[in-house]
Parts: sequence; C-alpha cells; structure tokens
Amino acid sequence: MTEPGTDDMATLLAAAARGEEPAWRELVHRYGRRVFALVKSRCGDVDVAEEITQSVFATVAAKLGGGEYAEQGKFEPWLFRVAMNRLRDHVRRVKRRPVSSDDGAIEGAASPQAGSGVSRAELDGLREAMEQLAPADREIVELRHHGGLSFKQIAEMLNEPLGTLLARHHRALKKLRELLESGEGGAEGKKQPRAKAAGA
Amino acid sequence: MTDNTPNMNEMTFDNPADAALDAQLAILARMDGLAMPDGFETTLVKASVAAAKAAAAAPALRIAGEARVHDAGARVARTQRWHATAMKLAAGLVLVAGLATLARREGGSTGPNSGGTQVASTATAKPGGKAAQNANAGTSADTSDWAIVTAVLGDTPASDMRDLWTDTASLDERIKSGPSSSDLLTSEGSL
Repeated sequence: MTEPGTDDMATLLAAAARGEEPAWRELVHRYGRRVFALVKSRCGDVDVAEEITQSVFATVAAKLGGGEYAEQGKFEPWLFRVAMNRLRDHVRRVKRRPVSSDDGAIEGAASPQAGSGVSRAELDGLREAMEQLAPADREIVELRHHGGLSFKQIAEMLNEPLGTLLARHHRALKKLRELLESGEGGAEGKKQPRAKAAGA
Repeated sequence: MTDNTPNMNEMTFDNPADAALDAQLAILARMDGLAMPDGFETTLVKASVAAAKAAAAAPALRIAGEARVHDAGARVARTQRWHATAMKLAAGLVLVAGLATLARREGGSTGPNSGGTQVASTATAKPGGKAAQNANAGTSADTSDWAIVTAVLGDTPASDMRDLWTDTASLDERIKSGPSSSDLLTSEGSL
C-alpha cells in the first residue's frame, strides 16, 4: 500500500481542517472503509460499527479543525488510535459483546468471493478463533489485516518496539492456526462466550 | 474494495509460513469492509465537514487558570512549611538558650526562695550590713534568672512567685530605708 506523500497529506489535512468537502471526501475514501472494517470486526454489529466509525471521523475532524493535530506523517496511526479508543469505550459501555445481528447482511452483501478458495465455514471458524485470542494480540491482527497499517505504524501507535510487535503478531497467527486445527475456532460448534473476548 | 485496502501480496509477506491463514484473514477483513452500507461514506463526509467547520469556528480555549492556581497553591504550601520550620527552629533555640543559661547559673539560687545561698544570706544579714547588700545583689540576679525561665516557659505560677519576691524585696528596702520607730511615734503624735 502506498502512503501518500507527507506534503500531499499535509495539504490534504490543512484543507480538511478548514472543513473543505473535497478533502474530506478524499480522506473518507482512503480510510473510511478500513476504519469501518476494523470496528466491525471487533464489535460484530454493522449499526454499532457505523456509529463508532462516524464518531471516530467526527473526533478527528474536530481535532483537525481545532488545530490539535500537526501533520508529521503519522496521520494513519493517529486515526486508528482514535478508532481503538472509541472501540474500548464501546466495550466498556456494553460490557459484553453484542449478539451479531448482521449475519444475513454478510451472507448477502459480503459473502466470500467465488474462486477465493475459502468457504464460509472456514471464515466463521476464523472469526470465532480471533475472538479467543488475547485482546492485545487480536488488536495487532486486526490493525494489520483490517486496518491495513504497516507494522511500523502499529508499533508507533502502540508504543512498542517493532521486534516485539512482530513477535506478538507471529505468536497470534500461530495461536489462530492452533485454534483452527484443534477445532476450537471452527464453525461447528462451540459457541464460546463472546464476552470473553470483548471483556478486555 | 478500494485501492487503499491491503492487498494479498502484502498479507502473505507478513507470514510466509502460513499463507493460507493470511489469505483467510485478508478475506475476512474484506468482508467486514464490504459490510459498510451504501451511502455511509457520504454520511461520514458530511459529519466530518460539519465537525471540522464547527471546531474551526469555535474560539480557541486555552487552559490558563488551573495549572497556575495549582502551582500557586503548591508555592504557598512550600512557604508555609518553611515558615513553620523556621518558627520551630527559633523556638527550639530560645528554649535551649534559656536552659543553658539556667544550667550555667546552677551554682546560685534557682528560685526566689530556694537555694541554701539565699537562705544563708538572709539569715546572716543585718540591716545596713555587708551581708544584706550581698543578699540584695543575689536577689537581683535571682529575680533575673527567674524572669528568663518565666519568659521561656510562660509559667504563670512562677511569674506570680517572682512578683511576690520582688514585692517582698522592695518592702524590705522600704523598711530599711524608712524612718525609725521614734520618728513614727513623733509623726503619729503630731497627727
């Protein structure tokens, strides 16, 4: 993924800070779906994901407009940090993972693409397995795969050494694989209490 | 999928040992992204523009009071602590000085009516004699010592005793320096 140049980004953010609609259209086009995917993966509900994503962009817009952010090439980590903070607020508020209400929507609008070689059951199993990861490990996986951040950006965002982060990511994937192979993360079954993952 | 979504190559690069898992995660992420309702981007844009304009139009509020007040409070507390310490030190020095003076004069009398020296002087004193003068000198010193102790300790009974001793001494002085009995009789007779 190519990062926009710092100058371009600074210009874009300056325009966004003034409330110019084309700038925001561009920002939302670049990051909106990624933020939404991250939030949706964590909360499991489209409506909640919409609400949180909108809150994230409103917060970012307010801070940009208020001059609280100075572009130093770290807009993406900052944006996703705001998103993760909103997610944590949400988890604290509901105290438990809401029952997913959009399985039908996924079935219809976002089913695995034909020819992807991945079945729906496999993806359901993967989702279940992710919910059993330690919250910190799951966060890294989601920031990397749903948020599309580079490891360097995630390391900056979480204030962790890059090596530590890579090791944690590797460990998380290994754990995911183990869960999938043991069947604990498989779709057939075991409806693990979702609050376990969301409670952190 | 937008151009900004991480592509499969990047994903597989992350974990070459488990490309299948990376592929599944990528698809899962894509599914979550595709779950975003149509028109939501427009909603996001409108909300963001409104929030940015509102923030830009709002007067800049700066925190000016709290930190300084807090700092001033800490400064006052520091000053109060220092003053209290200084006062304690001063009081301690006065107390030590008083006790040291008292100890230095331990050989003499320590009270208006105490001490063998004072009693002996009084016992041997005769009006107008040398012993009486010595006794008077000793009385003056003893009164001064007692005044120091009284001042240091704020001892009211001691102060009362000192006044009583002073009054007694002055009465002795008046008796000694006053007219003789015959003069008194004459005066009375003249009355």
